[in-house]
Amino acid sequence: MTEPATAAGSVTVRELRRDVRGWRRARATAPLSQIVEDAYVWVFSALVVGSEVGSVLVNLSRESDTACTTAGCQGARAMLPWLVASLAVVAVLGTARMLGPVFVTPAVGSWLLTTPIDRGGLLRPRFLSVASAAAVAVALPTVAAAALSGMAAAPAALLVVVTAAVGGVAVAGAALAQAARPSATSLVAWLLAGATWLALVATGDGRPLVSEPVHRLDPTLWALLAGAAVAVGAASLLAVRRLTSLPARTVTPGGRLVPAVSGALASLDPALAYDVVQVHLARARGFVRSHRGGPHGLAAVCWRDVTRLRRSPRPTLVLLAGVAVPVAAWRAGAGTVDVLVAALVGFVAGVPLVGSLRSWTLTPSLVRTLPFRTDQVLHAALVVPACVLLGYGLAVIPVLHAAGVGWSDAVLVGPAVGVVALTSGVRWIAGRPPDYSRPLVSTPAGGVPTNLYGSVVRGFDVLLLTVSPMLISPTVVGAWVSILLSVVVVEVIVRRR
Amino acid sequence: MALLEVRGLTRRYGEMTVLDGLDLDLEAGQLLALVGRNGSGKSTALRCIVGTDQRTSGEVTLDGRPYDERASWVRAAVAVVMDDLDFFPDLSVIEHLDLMAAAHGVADAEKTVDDVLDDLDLADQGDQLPHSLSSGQRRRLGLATGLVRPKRLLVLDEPEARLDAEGRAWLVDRLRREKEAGVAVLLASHHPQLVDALADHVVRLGEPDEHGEPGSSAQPRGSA
Repeated sequence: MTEPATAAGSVTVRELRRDVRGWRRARATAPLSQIVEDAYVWVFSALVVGSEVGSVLVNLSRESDTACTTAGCQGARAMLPWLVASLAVVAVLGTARMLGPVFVTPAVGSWLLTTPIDRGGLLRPRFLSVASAAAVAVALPTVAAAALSGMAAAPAALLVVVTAAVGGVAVAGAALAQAARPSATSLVAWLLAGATWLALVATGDGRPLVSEPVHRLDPTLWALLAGAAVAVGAASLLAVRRLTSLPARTVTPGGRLVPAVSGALASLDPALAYDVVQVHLARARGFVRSHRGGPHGLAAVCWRDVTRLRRSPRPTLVLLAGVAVPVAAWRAGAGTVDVLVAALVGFVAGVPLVGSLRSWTLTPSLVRTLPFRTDQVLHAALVVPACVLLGYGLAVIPVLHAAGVGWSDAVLVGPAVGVVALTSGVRWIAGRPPDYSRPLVSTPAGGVPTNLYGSVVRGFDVLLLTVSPMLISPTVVGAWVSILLSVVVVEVIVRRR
Repeated sequence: MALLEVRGLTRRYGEMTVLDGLDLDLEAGQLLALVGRNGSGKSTALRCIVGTDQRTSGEVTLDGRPYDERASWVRAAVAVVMDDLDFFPDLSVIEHLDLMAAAHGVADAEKTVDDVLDDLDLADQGDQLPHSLSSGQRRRLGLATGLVRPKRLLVLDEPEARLDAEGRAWLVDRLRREKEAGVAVLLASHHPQLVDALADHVVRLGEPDEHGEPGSSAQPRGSA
């Protein structure tokens, strides 16, 4: 009997990659002219959109220069890039924890990770891609925030470079923790989020850490840049050396998640992407400690939401911590626009609270197992989120009063903000997704459903509709009109199901 | 009067006729099995009966009243276990079944749930989240949702699928007990032993009629 041929050493990652590239090129169906044309469209689109966004930012910054004159406003404005950069790094850490951050496609996991080729060499380009993407993801919002803050160009550019490097370090750190202690990434993300929240609270309290925009390249920024450069170099080096020992089980789940989320986002259905992430997290978690008991009948449906909040209080805590945003906006001189800010925060932070509504509406088979009408179940699923969001509405009453709403009006405008946030969350989570079975509209990009583009702004549309009466008239009357509109919207969504 | 009556149930997809004038009667305490090859229309028949698929024509009544799956009295009376059952990503196996039992007002919900989990060999998976279960375990959890609650009619689509030999033996025993408790059982099955052991009526789908079109033939099996 002959020994099986040993493949180790017979092919390098570089050779393998070259072969795969060659096979793919041999099957290329698009002519070069088409590729150049597509690239031109992409570059041109990016330039047009970029210049539009840049123009808006510059104009906003100029208007802020003249309108933002109080010490509170200037402090809040000066803090903006630091807060945004910090939040962007938190987001990068959270995403890195979810994806790996080093991940491979299921095909690579099945076909290449099972072979004796150099795993470090295989994973290195993927790690560098993720780290680069993280740097860009942190840099872009920081650029916008720096432009709005009135920073001079040179320190703003330096700050953006530093924050981009920090984004890269975050991914490298997460890659180091990927196999042995992935929870360390979450811990760092939470600590940074806590620090950012404290900085936000200090800003709202009129004691910002940075009191005026940076106008010159001071030594602190240079020191930050040097520190970031050293950190990114050291962390990347260590992470790359660790890639060889990453087990397949830690790199394949992220590879399954990415195409699923990409597909959902490509169909402009962010709620579907949310579902995919939730299932991914549930699969990764695997076990929970079951809570038993509770009431019977329809109240049992509400009780599951109580169970959910007890098990995972994070959404409630994030929502309550979010009160700091309208406080900071008030300090920045938002005035009665703070009503919109408070509703927006309630909507965005409140979406996880209405997660059970998503399951009830997405899977009619689940509702059919219960001895109630569908609308009864959906209404019951709203009870607990409504209570929490009303609590948020009560918490913002003093802020709204400080922002210029009279006490007698604020006591109703606050809860109305909670109702508006709930309604927007319901619309986002339970609104109808793009329906490809309906008549399609012919576009240069092919046939698209009529409600495709609307699904991108789902939730925000209802937010603007229902909050408008309070923006026009932040009084008891405006609040009642907002509540009435919200009730109508919720009933339409629930009863259409 | 039969608990479930189906008259002239027809389902067409464009030019293709999958069900053509299916008639069924099912009394309390009886089991009616739909059998036939893959694609013969068993699952389509079940979906049309329980209202999750559009009927081209035909009538379905439960207790003499039109069967409307949206009505809460139908949901209270009929337990449907199909392959499309999904789960909450963040509730454990036990919490799903507790919810089902509590929503249906089962008096001793926790004990009932524990018994069903034991029966289905899912006791060790009680704290597990459904998406981390194997496909066979998820199938058994689906079965559990139908068993943990009170019902007058139990509708099952290939309940033996993904069950091992021991599980199938348990299923036969469990369905016999459901019948003895007066529950009417309507199932689609590929499992001859299950059908032979329990069915009071067998309806073969996909048998060509005299015109060569797909039809059905009902075979009462004595104990009705």
